[in-house]
Amino acid sequence: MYINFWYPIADSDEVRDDKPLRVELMGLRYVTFRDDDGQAHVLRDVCVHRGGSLGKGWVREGGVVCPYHGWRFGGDGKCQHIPTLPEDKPPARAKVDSYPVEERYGIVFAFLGDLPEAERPPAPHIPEWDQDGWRANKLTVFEVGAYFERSMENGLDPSHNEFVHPAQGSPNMNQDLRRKPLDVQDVPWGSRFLVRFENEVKGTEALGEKATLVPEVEAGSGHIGPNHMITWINFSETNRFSQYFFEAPINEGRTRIFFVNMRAFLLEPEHDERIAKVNLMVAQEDIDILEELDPVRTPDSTTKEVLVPSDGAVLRYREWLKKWDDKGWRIDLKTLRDKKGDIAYSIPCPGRRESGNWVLDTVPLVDADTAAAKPRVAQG
Amino acid sequence: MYINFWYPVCTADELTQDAPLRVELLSLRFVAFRDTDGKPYVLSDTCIHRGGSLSRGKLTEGCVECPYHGWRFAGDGQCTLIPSMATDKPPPRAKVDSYPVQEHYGIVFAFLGDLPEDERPPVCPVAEFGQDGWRANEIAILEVNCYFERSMENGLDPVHNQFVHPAQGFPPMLEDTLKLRREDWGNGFWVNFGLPDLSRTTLATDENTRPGEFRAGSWFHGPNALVTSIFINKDSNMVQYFFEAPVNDQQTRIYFLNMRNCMFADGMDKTIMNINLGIAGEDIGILEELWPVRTPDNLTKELMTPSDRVIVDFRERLNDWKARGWQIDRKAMRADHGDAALTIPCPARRTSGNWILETVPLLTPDA
Repeated sequence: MYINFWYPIADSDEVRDDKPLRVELMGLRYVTFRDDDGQAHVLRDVCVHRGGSLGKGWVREGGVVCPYHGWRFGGDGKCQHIPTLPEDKPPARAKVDSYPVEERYGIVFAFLGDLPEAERPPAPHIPEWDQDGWRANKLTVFEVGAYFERSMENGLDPSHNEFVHPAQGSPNMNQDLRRKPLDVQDVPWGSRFLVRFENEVKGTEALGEKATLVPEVEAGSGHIGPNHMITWINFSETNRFSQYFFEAPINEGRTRIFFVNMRAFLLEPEHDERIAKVNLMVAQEDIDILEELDPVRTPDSTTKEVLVPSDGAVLRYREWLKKWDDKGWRIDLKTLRDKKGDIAYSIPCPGRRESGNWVLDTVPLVDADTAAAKPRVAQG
Repeated sequence: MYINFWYPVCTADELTQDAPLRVELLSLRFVAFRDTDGKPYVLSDTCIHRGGSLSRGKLTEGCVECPYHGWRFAGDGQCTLIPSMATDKPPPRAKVDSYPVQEHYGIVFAFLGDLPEDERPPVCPVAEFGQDGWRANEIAILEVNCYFERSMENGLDPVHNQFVHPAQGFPPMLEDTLKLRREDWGNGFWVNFGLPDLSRTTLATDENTRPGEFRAGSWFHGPNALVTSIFINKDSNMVQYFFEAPVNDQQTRIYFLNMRNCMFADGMDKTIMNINLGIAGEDIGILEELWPVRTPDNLTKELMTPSDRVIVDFRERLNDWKARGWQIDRKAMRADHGDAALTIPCPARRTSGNWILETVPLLTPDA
């Protein structure tokens, strides 16, 4: 799990101006709510007074009110009101971390980290959104009892389809995959690959003839950052799916996935439901596998697995993770686990670079030098 | 929990050529299956490619096939097919641990350890099995929420009977008749009891169970097999075998085999099983409430009396096996949970290299 990336926090519809919503992410709790202008905010959930859970409080005058002693925090994280103090000017250190928010595609995203704006990875982007000839399914949110890296790697893996999704008309093992290493291309903050299917493969019955894969058309997937995954399924030149998976690691064994399906065919709304149904069936097949993987978290060295050329995109993903390890962005899960119940940690927000006197300790991170000394991907 | 012993994996009937079976033992997952000849195999359950659970896959051509990417593993643990690779010969390091298997008494046993064949302890023998004049009950499986050592020690304890099993007519034991026995892989005792009041049990209806000399003995074989022999009178004998499978450090699955040389009347199988399950239920009621869950590692944390003698012997033998480096380091294992896939080393690890999974942490002698 990494700081300094954009994470999906909640379905926009769930974020309200009359009631805060509490969300767990990366082992810590957050509160999200809207102010009087409808602007969504994401704050650390822990009241700096005596530990109340802001997410269990209420929203008043555009701020979130702690249910314990009524302290009110604005969207910027600053305490606006302390009922037990005579003068209405809370001390400067009465503040909680508040994170940059972007709301798009019906999702509230937060940047969980302290990088200044210019250095941040880009906010999630769906180029097909609102384009002519494309239609989005309603946002689907599902939870998986697996570590998010396992789920990401599953999406970056072209060789599991024929075993995990046989009934969905997934292609037979692509001979290209067997003959040569996967051609993985780097993109800003990530990588992607496309493979060409040689044989015509019948699509799933529920989608009809239009979802039949025709030969010589490409399909593949890619990732941006540690937790955004995209799958392109091009049944033909025109009949295309672009599937966006924004993954929120809830903790070290659980992941919430925000899924947006874009399609360039079957554009009538009447097809929404059956497409969603097929997608969920396929997702469940993956979930059944992911929840049984051992160990729960991907081994930290490739010597603990036997990887083959068709795992090329998985390896490239790990190389990217390694870059972020080396920047010191990886959360130290063992320390987090050891201190659970003793220390309320917080992911540092950008405001911490501009002012001092923050009350909560920042989340423990794997030291960049320690990370740099440890290869993730074995050579040779 | 100890490596290098035989553990019951499943009953012979549970194991088929149709689908693999997942079994949790010693806090690890294993997959058991039969090949096309019906030969049983037990392998580590974790696919060494990207961690798929082999037991959630299927059997193809006598091999277990990973549900994630279709890698096939033969009974010897070697990978025989990697569908996404052009080569027909998977690399030699594509292998998982495969354990020696024996089928006895309707139970499939796996040797979870890496000792060469001539150094292995035997499966606990059931001398009466298949002998004229003896009858076996069907195997009963008991799932108990306790650590296996607690269950073993309960069986080696002659004093608890009159308190835990009063309804079975257990009279107090005659302490001066206690005799100890010591064998290659375990110790035990024989003791006489006062005359039981069988009138309160179903056994009272059987001609052969008229009270006479009433004596019983218990002994262990390895850390996880327990035998109790009960002479209801001079000739009528019931010998009970408990093959214990530590599921993890707080759960135990017990394979129970009841042998007897009396009470052959129709319907007695069922009657005897019901009595036995009733007695087991009384023990389970106690065992699941013991504290701490795992036996203290030091006799100063309990107050033992002379009648606990065989339990002390059991712990001494466990110490012998610990001194050989066979005891699993449960704490280290727990600390790695979810971060590393571990396995028990199989015998082949002594003859070839390049194994992928790390072996379970073991306590070093005198640690």
